Amino acid sequence: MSRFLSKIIIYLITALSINIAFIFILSYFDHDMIKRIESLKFTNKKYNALVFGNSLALDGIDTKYLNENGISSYNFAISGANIATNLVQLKEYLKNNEKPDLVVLCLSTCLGSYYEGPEIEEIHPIVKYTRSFEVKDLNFPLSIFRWKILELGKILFSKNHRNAKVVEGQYKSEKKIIDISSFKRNSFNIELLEKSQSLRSFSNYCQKKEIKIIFIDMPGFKSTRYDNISNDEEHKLFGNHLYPCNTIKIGNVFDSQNDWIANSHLNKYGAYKFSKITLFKIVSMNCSKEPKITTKSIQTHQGSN
Amino acid sequence: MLFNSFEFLLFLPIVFILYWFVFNKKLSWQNGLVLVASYFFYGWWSWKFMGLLMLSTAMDYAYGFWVASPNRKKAKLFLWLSIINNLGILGIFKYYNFFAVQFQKGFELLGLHTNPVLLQVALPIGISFYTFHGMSYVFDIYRGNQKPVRNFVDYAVFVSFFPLLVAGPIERASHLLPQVQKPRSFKYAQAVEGCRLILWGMFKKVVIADSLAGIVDSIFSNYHDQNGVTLIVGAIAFSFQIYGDFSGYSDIALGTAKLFGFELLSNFKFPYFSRDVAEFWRRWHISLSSWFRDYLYIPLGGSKNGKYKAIRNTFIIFLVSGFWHGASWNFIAWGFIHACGFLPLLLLNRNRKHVTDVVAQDRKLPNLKELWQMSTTFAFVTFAWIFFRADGMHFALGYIKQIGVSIFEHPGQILMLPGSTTSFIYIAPLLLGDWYLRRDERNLIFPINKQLRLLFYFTILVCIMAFFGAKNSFIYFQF
Repeated sequence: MSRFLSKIIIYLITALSINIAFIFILSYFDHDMIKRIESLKFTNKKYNALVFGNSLALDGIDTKYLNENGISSYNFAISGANIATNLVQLKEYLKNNEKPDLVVLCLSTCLGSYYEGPEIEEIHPIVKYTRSFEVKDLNFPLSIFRWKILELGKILFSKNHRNAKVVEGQYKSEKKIIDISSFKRNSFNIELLEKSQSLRSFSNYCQKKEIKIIFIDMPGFKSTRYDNISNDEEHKLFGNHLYPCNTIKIGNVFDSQNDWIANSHLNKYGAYKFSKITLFKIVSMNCSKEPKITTKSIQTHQGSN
Repeated sequence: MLFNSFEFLLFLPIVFILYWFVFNKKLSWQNGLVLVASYFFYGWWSWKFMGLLMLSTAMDYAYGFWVASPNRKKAKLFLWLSIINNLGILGIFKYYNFFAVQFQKGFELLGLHTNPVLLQVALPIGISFYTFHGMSYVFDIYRGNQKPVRNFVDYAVFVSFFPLLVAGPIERASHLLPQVQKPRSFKYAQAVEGCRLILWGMFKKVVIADSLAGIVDSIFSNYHDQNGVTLIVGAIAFSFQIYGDFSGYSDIALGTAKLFGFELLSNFKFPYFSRDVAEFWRRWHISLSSWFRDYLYIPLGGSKNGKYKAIRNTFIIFLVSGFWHGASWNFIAWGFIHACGFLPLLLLNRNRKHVTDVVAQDRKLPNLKELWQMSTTFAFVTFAWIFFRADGMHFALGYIKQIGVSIFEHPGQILMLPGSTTSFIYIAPLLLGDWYLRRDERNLIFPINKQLRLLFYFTILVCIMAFFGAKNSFIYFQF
């Protein structure tokens, strides 16, 4: 019996060690986890703008550019995050920090996301399991963050993944894929967004906390761009400004060879262009900040890229 | 309580330690502990139906004495009462609504409108299994193969032993009861074998079956929008899902029982390596098919009273077997299809061709003939699984029609990569593992050196941990 028990104990200890090692590796090498740990440490911060969203915002919003041009900001977006997760992140931030002037919630209708899902959405595991522990959620870290095993594999085998960095919350990668899609007729449907309970909850929370919120619909591949809207029109969602940026006009800025990291996801070059040409104006206007773009600051930023 | 849950990972070691270190002084204490643990295990799912389990156990315990009466008329009367009682319980909870609706439809054909009262009650988990346990005990006593058990706890352990309580294997009194009544000692080799079975069973369930479940569900739920080849992939994926799910459960049950010194009946012997339908049924859900053979087919006369009766009896057991799985026409159709597949073998006296051997017995790979036989048998079984998986007959026929129409309209798709090819990633390790182990389903030692074997076990362990936590129920829990 003692031989059997000692073997079982060795197996248990090994299984436990594998899980602990996995968490340890994630916290040092996984970009989502690094960023999450960084943002959890924020105390008494005062940002002009906080960016929320999913992978489109994570890759496509260059907060460093905004910071260098006078708008202090941080990109809280997490790949695969839903609006409920973004709301949890905002609430967490507000517990230990000052209110931002502006919350930028990035939408991804180019991927078909209209947030029509159930009112109670699952919180993203990266946020959920670094926040609190409940017995009912007990599981092996290997299972909770299973998809990260593949992500770690990518870091191990791909130079682009290894060299990617998280800067002010943005995932900056040089990886490029070509947008080989062609234009189609797409219509932007604001009514579908108006039906979303999760978007409404997020908006209501910001209004309750007297924080200005704007919605930005992120740019996507050529085949997803809307041809029924123009950037000059005023769009409102729950009484807040909505900026549809997945238009043909804004999309023309992007180089189909160099500016994309994945399907409708901007890489660091695309993100820089988007933030410089479009986003900065929108954010500074809503933050009541005067644009402070100088040739020098742009050159410095390009150099750092 | 599910085997693939943290509750079970906590429950099992606690019961194991109590069993071998605290209650090990007396057999009656150990059996008492097993019974309490089994009721706790069952009650974790639903305390409401505990009473039904206890009632069924007490009833068959009492019938055991009455059926043992030397007065054969009295014994026969009580045997029939026992059958009526057990089938009555099953009938109320499992089949009542089905029959009520069928009668309603029948009356409507005659122009009579009826409004039957339907029961709004969940099917008690494991009901088909524990009632069959009890029935086999009473049958065996009636036949003189088993003596009634004096000690109620011993009998209750036979019926409710937690590894087999909710989804089998369906044990025979003559096999399990002597083990319950005999003192058990801890055997290292047996316990290690048990752990290997648990590990492999958990891998089959958590990694393979649960992963395939997502693919299968997405294909079956949107079958109208899929092309024919993808639908075929969906059916193949379901064949392996149900195999991984149920044989995984059985392996965990067998392994858990070994930890407590019990040996349960084998339920699976690599059924997808069968060379004909008859062999498939000697390798698939063995405890159920042998139950029907011993307590239904043989009492009906089996194959000994001429071809006509053999055909009739074959159809009866296959149809009853289908109906046992669920009160729905698609399960009956599933049984009927298998009966049709079995029939030519029966008529040609080829149904007992592969009784003892296994495919490629003394070789590493099958020959072309065996490969053809295995492939055609698998194709037949997979076709029948469509009926098993479908939500009704209309669904099953629609699925099959969609395969035919799609391939007929776009035959070029056969040469293209179908959707959901990821399912093959999960199927491959199952097939390879099974092929390697096919000569002995209980001896899960891979003939490689110790270091490689350890690496193999840890790889399996890591895979299980990575896929753990979905808490997907076992398919056979619904039966």
